[in-house]
Amino acid sequence: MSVCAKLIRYRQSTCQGVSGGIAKIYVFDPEDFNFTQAAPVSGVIQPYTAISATSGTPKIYEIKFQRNEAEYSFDQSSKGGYYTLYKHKVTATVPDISMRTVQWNTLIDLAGECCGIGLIIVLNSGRIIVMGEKYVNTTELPIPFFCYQDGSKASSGKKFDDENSNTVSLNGEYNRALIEFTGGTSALTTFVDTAS
Amino acid sequence: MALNIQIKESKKDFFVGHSKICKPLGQQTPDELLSLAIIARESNDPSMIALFSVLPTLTELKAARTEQQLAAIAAEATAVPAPEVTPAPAPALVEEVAAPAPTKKLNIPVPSVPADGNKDKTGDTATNSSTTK
Repeated sequence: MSVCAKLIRYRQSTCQGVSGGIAKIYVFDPEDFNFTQAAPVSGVIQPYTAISATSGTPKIYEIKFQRNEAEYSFDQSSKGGYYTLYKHKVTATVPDISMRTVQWNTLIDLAGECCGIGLIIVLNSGRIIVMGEKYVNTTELPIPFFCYQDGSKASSGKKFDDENSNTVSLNGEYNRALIEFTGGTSALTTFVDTAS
Repeated sequence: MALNIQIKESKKDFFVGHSKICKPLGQQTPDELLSLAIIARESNDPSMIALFSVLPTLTELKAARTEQQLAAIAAEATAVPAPEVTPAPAPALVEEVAAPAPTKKLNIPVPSVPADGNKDKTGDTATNSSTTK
């Protein structure tokens, strides 16, 4: 048994197909939600298993992007093996430059300046990953995971059949990859905003 | 063994999304509450623990879950298989053909057709014969 670092094999299921792409993206105020996570098992970090409101009845808000036009990625880097950085990025193309474009962007910029942006990303593989969360097991993360909008673009196109859209780019830097939420999409339904 | 898990009265309208469900705690089934209780114990999340007025230990909860799973497996194993339905005999592909009745020789006088043509002198013979009663 190693006395230095615990390791595990990468990928448990060897005969299982995996789909690429993103099914849904939700943004939320990190102040509003608490994620519940089991204690590490033999030193291995565990997924989030439950989500609940920190107070009141907060909502999570969907980004209704164009089909097949959203992506999550991270770039990992490390200086000398000591200083590890994960640059997380979510992009999503939303059609129709409109009043909603300025409203949504103004609010998301305010959130990015103030308390950060939380994201719940439902992958086409069925996995759900969480970015920019603040509270885990009712305790504020000791190292803040702060996400904000940076690098978004929009273009009207030139012709009738050109794309008229806003490509939103939400970013965050942290010391690890994103943690999976295993409660399933059904566990989110009550929190999804359908009114605004 | 039915495990006693109880939600605080004041928390019955509280929502927790977990185990593919998101409904008020007061509406969750005993099985769903068992899952949430395990989550609460495994995480030791104070806000989860605070939802319960009676919350057994993790060992008790896991024992109950195991017992539940074993019971389900046993039920499946001992389930009486549905009686096999014997299909009704398929109808014969070839019906028995009744033996042909013996033919009677009818003594019908056949009008003689002149050898030189199809019509007799009075016109269309066939039409006349079909309308005659």
